[in-house]
Amino acid sequence: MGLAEIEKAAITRRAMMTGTLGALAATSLPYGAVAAQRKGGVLRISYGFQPTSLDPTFGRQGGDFGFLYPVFETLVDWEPQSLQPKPGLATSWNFPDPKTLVMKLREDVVFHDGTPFDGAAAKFNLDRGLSDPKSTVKADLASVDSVEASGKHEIALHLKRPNIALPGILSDRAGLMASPQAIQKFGDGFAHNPIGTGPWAFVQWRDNELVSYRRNDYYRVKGLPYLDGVDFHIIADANTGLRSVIAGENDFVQSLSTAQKPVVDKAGLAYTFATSQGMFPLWLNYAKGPLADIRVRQALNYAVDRDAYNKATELGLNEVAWGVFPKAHWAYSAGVDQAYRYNPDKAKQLLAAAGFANGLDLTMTGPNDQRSTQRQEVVMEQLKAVGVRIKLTTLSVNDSIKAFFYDKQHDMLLILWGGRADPSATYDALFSKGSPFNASGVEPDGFADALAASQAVPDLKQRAAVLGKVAQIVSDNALIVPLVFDAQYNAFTNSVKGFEPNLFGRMRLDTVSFES
Amino acid sequence: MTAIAADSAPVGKTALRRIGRWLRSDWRAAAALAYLGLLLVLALSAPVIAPYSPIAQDINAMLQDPNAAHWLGTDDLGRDTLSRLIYGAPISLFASFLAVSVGLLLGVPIGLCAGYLGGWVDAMISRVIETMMSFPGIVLDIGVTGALGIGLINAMIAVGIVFAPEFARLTRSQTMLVRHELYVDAARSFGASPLRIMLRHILPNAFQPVLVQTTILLAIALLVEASLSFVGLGIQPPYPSWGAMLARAYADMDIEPAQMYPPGLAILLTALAFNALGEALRTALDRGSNSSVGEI
Amino acid sequence: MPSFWGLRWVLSRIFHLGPVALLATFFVFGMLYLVPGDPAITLAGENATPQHIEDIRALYGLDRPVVVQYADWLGHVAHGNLAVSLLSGEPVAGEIAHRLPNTLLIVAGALGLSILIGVPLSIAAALQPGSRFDLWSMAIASTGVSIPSFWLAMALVSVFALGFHWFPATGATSLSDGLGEALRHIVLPAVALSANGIATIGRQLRVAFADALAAPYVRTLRAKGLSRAAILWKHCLKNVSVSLLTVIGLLANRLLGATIVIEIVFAIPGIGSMVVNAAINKDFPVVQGVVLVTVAIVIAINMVVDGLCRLIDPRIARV
Repeated sequence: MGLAEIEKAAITRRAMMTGTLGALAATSLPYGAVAAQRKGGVLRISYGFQPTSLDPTFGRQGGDFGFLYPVFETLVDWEPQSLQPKPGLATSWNFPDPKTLVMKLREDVVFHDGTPFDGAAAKFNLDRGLSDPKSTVKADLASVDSVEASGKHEIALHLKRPNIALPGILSDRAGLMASPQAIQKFGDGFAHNPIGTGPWAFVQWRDNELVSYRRNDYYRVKGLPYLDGVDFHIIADANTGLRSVIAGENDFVQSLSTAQKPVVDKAGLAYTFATSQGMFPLWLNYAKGPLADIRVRQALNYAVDRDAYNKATELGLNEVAWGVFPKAHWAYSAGVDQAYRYNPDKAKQLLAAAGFANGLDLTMTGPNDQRSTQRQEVVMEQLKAVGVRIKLTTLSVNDSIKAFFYDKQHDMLLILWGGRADPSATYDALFSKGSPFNASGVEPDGFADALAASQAVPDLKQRAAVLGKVAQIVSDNALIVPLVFDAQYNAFTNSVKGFEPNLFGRMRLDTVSFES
Repeated sequence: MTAIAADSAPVGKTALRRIGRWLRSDWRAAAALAYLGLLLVLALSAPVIAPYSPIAQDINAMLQDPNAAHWLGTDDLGRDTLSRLIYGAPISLFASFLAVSVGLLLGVPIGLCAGYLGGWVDAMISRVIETMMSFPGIVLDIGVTGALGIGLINAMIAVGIVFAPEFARLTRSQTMLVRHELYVDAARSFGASPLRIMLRHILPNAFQPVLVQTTILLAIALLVEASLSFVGLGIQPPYPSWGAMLARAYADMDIEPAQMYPPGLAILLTALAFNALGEALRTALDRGSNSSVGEI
Repeated sequence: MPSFWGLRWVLSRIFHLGPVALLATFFVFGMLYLVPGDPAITLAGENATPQHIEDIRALYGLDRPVVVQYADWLGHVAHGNLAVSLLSGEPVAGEIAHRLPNTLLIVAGALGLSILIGVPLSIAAALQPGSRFDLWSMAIASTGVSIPSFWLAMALVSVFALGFHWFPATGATSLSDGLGEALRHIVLPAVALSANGIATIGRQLRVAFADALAAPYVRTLRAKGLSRAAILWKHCLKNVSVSLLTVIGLLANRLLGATIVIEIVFAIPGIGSMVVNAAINKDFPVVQGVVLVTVAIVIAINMVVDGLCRLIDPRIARV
């Protein structure tokens, strides 16, 4: 954990000093790799999700990324600790005018099937993302009008409207590059035969059991990867997954819950515990009912004791959330810190002022697994103390999402927010009135303007300041009740070295090796 | 196979008297009834007896071993396990009785009609019964619960619906045995309507195996409630049912394995009591009627 | 050749039970359809706009009327396949074929244990009616029927897998990894499942034996000096075998259901956990397929049981 902290500080400082987007010096090793590690070995991972698709453009869930990153790379890469964009398959990019993004692509990169990665291939992927009916990145690329292969190793994106967030977006799913020839050859079957440019090549997918990869000998970064192969064993339950590592059946288990720490410590396993940008909030529907009154929403924010919640659900180890971004994120804004420090008396005052001196009744929904239920119970108990009575309905994850966001059947939802690649995209998704993740369908005055301003400033430091204004509007209007940030908690045997957690909370294995 | 004594009216009372006699001489049945009685008392007086509120959290006392302040320890939010166990009793008992009641209310009339009316009614009903009994009940439970909406009451109604075919089949076969008895013919020749015949003459003579099956299904309902809570379809948080407690204990199993024993044992003992009662009833009714009521 | 082996009998059973199987699938399909929740939302993914969801719904034909969707599926079945999973795009038949062995292995193991332990238990108890052994074994059997099998599974994992490390705590391995390993993995799940089976067989057979031994002709044989054991083997076996077969048929059905929760506790990739996930996510083709296969298995087992019963005792008319 110490190493991660030091590296994080160094990278953040470096990033701050370099400043302008696209002018970061291309580091010779991607993604913070540490030099001189032993080659060899197959890493056996206990992973909690099934891939929804191994086709990057069609996949539906955040859990897919563990399966995609071994095989695919993005146009824009990202710093693990701050998520700042840096060169990936694209070496540099700039906006000659606000509605055009030109990207220069790396030369001498080949897909696993030997076909070259070039402008045509990049265009193919982006067009597919824009127009294929099954594409799940259409919304991400909404600002793009057309893509042009303006050179053998260059593309130009013509935009419908200015969008400074686009490079950040292209560091996420929309920027994953797949082999056009393979897509055309396999058709629908490509989802079971993924071919990209990544460090490992896909070998097999045994449904709900195993997905395995083996070394790509022609990977563009010489010396990588260290591991000969990676085997993902799909084990949905985190307890069972941890047991499999303790029993020696696997080397690595990802996404443990903090509550499992005593077991990990007792077994003497190595681990990484790092904040991710995922956040647990109480989502609010403030279009109608008591929550339409700002005082009620503020009361809720004062009523939750975030430290106690942290202690009860995460052993006190996670980072408490006051806003939408954790401290390590480049867009973090200190201005909203502690804005709603725990104050049940103030909460009761606000409720009384709003006409709810005798308490009020609200409905809540959330997922029905045990860990989620535990979170719901803590929040319900805290709100009860100020007179807010909650009627809870637990559902499956998808059903609770549907019930709250689409059917608008509940006042509140407690579910993890996974984050987006670009901070403006995050605020847009959470609070813009047209966003599917804004159950209320309304936004406060000034929000749209502040958001638009944040999408027009190229300099990262200035942009962070503008984003701070957006954060202030969100906080002042108490549009959401942030609780804690999620932590990426992974445990592994002591022979596994070099694993670097990142703020996305996704699994990247480029730097992992076995002990020599 | 004569299952019932010859005349219809006094059978009910005679059977009850016999049951009383056998229970007095069968210690297992007596013990079972005593346990269930105690449980009922506990269930009804939970607010008085339980040391803590079942939903009061104490984050400084999470996952404790049994100690002086918490006799059965605490769960992962510091809630007193003993109190939750006590408050869980009425919920679990209610769940079982609800499921079995629904099953009886649906299944017995259907079985009566099928057995008495015969013909195409019987054929159609039998086909549906066979269908429902031909695949694992829990799949139906999950599906019907989903259709009705998640929650304890809906879940147990679903379980009741799944029990109905069993009651129907049992009632049907008993009805078919009884309907040829002399007193039924007599009633028919007196002009009694089918409904009257079914209710007054057939039902009282056909209910004995149904009674036995009721106790057995009470035990099964308890176990099914536990399973449904385990997969998240039962009672909504934060209220405790024994099944929900078991599900939470499973999630914490690696950290505090002791938490799985109180709810598990509670379920086991209660199901055992129901089953023992059923066994004793079966024996009593068997010996009373001098035959083997061979329904499995 | 006896008629029950005849083709006519088999065909008549299929004719009789085929509609049952199909009715079961329509029933489940209708139920799934009533269940709130929308596979289109799952399919559209995390980032979906309402428009995208509608597009997906149209793309997968989920906006068509229920009956049309069901008829479509029936068409697949008529052509000998089980359609394709909504969520993974994989052929359902393939997924089932892949996962069914894991489930069957556990169920077979539990069934085997139940017979191996339950039958001798009931015989021993029947031969000493009213003895301490009889009463105690039946009491234990009562307990076995009352245990929540997944609780037993949890206790077994806690003690034997995590405590003593005698057995693995997690899932199945495929048979390609060696029979020994596969067997080691199924011990705990099979034991957890078998508690109920041992108890059921023990009790039902004990009752069957008691009934058989209570028949009048047995009293005559006892008066002639034959031991209970001799009577049992020579005369009662036929009736008891019928009871045993009937119980096994019932047990197989019950175990197939009980295995669902066991698969979840042990993280076993069988059809039980598959159908739960599919039901939660409204993956209709998968649920249909699993139900059809399960019903077919249960019907097949019952047909075999029926046939064997007739073989043993041709007088029996099975209802």
